[in-house]
Amino acid sequence: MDRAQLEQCIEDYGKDIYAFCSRMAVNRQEAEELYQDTFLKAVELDSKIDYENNPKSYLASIAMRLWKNRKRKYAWRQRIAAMKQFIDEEALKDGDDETDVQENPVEESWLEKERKIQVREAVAALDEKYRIPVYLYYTMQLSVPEIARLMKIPEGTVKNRLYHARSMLRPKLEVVWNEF
Amino acid sequence: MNFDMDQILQQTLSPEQEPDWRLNQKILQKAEEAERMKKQNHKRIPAAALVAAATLMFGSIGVFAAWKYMTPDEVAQDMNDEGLAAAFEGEDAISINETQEYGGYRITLLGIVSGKNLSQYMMQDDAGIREDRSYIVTAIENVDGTPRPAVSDEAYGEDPFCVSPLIGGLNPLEYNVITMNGGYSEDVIDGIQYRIVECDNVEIFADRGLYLSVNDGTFFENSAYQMDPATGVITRNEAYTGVNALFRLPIDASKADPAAAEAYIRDLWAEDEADTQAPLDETAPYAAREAAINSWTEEDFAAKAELLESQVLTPADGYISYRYSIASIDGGAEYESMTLESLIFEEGQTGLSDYRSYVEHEPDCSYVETYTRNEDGTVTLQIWKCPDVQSEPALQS
Repeated sequence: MDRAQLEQCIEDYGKDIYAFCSRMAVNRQEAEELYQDTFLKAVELDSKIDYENNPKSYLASIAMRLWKNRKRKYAWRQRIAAMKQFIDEEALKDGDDETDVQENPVEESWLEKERKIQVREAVAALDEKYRIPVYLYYTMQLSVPEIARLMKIPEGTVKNRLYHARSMLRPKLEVVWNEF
Repeated sequence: MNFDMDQILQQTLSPEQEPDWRLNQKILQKAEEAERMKKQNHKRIPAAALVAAATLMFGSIGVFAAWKYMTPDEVAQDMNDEGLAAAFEGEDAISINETQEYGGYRITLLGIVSGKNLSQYMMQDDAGIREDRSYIVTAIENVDGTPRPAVSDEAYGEDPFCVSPLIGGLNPLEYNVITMNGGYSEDVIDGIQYRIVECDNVEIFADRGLYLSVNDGTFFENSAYQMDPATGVITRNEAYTGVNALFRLPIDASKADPAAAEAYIRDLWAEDEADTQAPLDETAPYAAREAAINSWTEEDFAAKAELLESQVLTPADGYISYRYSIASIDGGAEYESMTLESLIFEEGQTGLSDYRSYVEHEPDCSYVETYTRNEDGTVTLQIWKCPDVQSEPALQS
């Protein structure tokens, strides 16, 4: 892969991959390193990339494997607290450049961000088995068959895990929805 | 507003921020560097001429009375780690108090302690509790006297540092704080940034020469340092324009344990090799069975498989959504899916789709979803329990 191709790859998929890495990581350093290494690994494995056949899914599989490989190395102290702080920071940054046309923009924006924080924390608290398909589905916006291929599990297992993830999230999200 | 969980998750988890352009630039730069290194694979750059004496010319190094800094045990106390604070007060702890200045930062190495179960916050990972660790305390301050940003400040982390132990004779890129299962805790007190870095116990390598590197940036920066391949001595790269402090860790060579060191090197990479293997493909053993079922017609399904469930679905916004349970899997497994119609059917196609979704495989049977588009545009979803049929031919239609 030459520089132009890598730039194109980053341009096309960087935002999705960065979001996926950010959701999986507990702090910005880990997210940025995972994001960086995903593309560098992709360059290293260049010959195996099939550009015609969903490179986004391929990049996601690299990110997932790197994360699984390294998560033990990133067991930063107070991991949960760090993750909570990172989620807060990320949610607060989201949409900063958007023009808010609500009637009460300040309050509306605060409520939205607070909701976002609560939802992301609820998802982050899921067991890895459920969390990864959720991020692949909602963040990377991959289909169930793509996730099944990427995780090398039957499609039904993906559906089952998404079902259980939603079942576990539903009561928490309903509370968030009603509170804010 | 109605509660729509799917929509909430979609909105909340979908990508919003672009990665920082500097990060993308760094990727491009590193990819180019890797490419260059690949081309220069066997070319050795003589590093002997760039030995440590040169460090004195560019940075200032000194041993100061570090009275203004907190002691390592006080730093550990600040981070609520009584166990580590006690360890830093113990006989095995080494106080150092050496300062170097680069790029407007005054970096001081305060102390190191190594041993088993020293901290109250032991790191646990897939390999279990990492009990045998080294802890190193550093202090970083701005030379111009301005305070370092507090942890709660927005500016905190804008000029990050990577603090890492390095081992003489071992490639710093392969043996640094990240690869040696490291982490850190940090606090800013009275404008001074204190960090406790921890990683697997490096004392076992004491006979090789131990170092502590502090470079600017989030990651260990390999271009900031160099190792003489002949002697194993690590030095600063004088041509590096950023911060690249390098301290010798004064650990007595008698604390080395060459056998343990060799075992550590072997195990560290063995773990990685195991981890970087592709995950076990759970579907691979059933590829032949899937291939057989993929060729089945409606008649084949009717004749050979057991129909567990049938639902008529009305597509909405290009998707079919459904939910069902299979009583015979795990005492009642639930499945839910929202599938793009265009994934299953060609435009205008009616009848049974060639697309099959395999729900689960068991040694003697497989559970399969099939989809039939009806003339009225609805889709019939059927869940079948199919026997192990890999060698059986399809019925002639």
